[in-house]
Amino acid sequence: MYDQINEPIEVLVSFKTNEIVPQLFSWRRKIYKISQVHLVHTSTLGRQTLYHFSVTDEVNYFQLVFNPFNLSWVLEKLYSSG
Amino acid sequence: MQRIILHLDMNSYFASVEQQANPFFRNKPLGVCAYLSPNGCIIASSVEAKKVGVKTGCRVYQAVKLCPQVILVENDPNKYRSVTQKLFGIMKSYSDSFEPYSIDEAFLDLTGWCRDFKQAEYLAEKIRGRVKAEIGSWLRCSIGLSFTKFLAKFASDTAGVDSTLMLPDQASLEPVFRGRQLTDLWGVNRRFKKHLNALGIRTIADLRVFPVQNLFSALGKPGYWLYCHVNGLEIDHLRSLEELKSKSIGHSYCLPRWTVDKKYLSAVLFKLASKVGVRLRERKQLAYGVYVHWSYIGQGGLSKSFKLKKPVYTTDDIFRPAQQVLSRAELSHKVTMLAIGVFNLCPMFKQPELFFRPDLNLSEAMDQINGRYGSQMIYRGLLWKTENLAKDRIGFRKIDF
Repeated sequence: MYDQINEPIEVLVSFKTNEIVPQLFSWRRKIYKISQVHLVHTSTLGRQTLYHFSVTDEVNYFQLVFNPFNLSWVLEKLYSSG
Repeated sequence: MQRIILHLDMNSYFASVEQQANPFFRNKPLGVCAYLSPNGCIIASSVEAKKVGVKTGCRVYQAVKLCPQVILVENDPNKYRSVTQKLFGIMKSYSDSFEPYSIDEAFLDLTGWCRDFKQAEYLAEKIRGRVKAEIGSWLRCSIGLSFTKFLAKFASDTAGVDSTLMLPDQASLEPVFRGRQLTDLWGVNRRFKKHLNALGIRTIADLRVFPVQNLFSALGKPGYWLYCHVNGLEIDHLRSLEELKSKSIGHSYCLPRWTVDKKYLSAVLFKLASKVGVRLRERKQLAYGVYVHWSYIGQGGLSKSFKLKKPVYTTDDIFRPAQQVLSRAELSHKVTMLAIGVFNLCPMFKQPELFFRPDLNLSEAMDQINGRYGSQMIYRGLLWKTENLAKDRIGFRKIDF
């Protein structure tokens, strides 16, 4: 059901009280504006904690992963409602 | 002081979490699967899926037949564990007496924290509100409030989706038990129900008035406990994490490929043994018992357990007796499921071995490397190309997540 992508992306985020909120990201030369963050969950890779953001724009669902160890963002998976 | 126990049970948990994460899945039939292959099993389904008959235990091919529009996703244990941590964090902020029952259920003892049931009901709604506000608005839960642990769970099982049911006193019990089956009671399965029927007990009302001495004589402690439960007599308590620690550690795996290929089965068995070993060493325990089990296609299988004079600690020690059983066995049918585990656990003691065993330090070193850089960063050759076998899963009623 989901397309596994696992490609690096560039993300603009805002830092709020006790949370970071991705606002938009760039992938394959296209900018996607995030309309809402629906869930944030964590996983571990050894000692590293990864943060997974389930977000949508108008028609797509994206799961973005932030690795605070190396400050990188990855588009993990994608679902298109269209 | 009035005893007040709260039981919270998330509704269609895995499916709800997936729908919370992806709004395009909301209000649609959704099944969360162990595997997406046709024989994969649905482990959780959304409210919408249940309405069309797609329920837990259904196979993927059956689900698609029942509902061609069903959305099927593979389960994501990290997501559910993460949400559960947040959920339990919210609950624990209201009482120091908390018992997780499973990945999506927990008890809270509000005795002394709430003046009365009215205040407890207010608190229950506050918890519900915080779950929606702080974790996700799509997440729903049933909450039960009562003066015993058993009745609190019965109340949450009876309450509707996203609702609270209160059973504050003895007078509230009879109406809620009326018309309910014996098997609706926590701990009563069809087999136990037959024993109750044999005594002339057909309904919960019959059970409540049955002479307790006769019940005890016929069914022993379980009968006595059940009598106490339905009559609102508290014989239980919220257990601490120490009490909840499992007395055995095991892993099982439903094979995607049913087979008699012993080389393949050995690889799977070793992978399961290595998972058991990691958890045993994490808990700093030794085990004086190993068990192995497999199931055949159709029915039947084999179960063997060994009590050991010398404790096991490394993956090889755990794997060796199980592998011997497998290598000597005549596999009469294709194997569909494998399980391995350890029991008779005790704390680790550092006693120097009479003969030097470098593999003890090797196991610990590998655990440290994998713990730092990620599991499967370093692994034994037998596990080559087994990444997709026996993936991370949430065990039924396992609370050490």
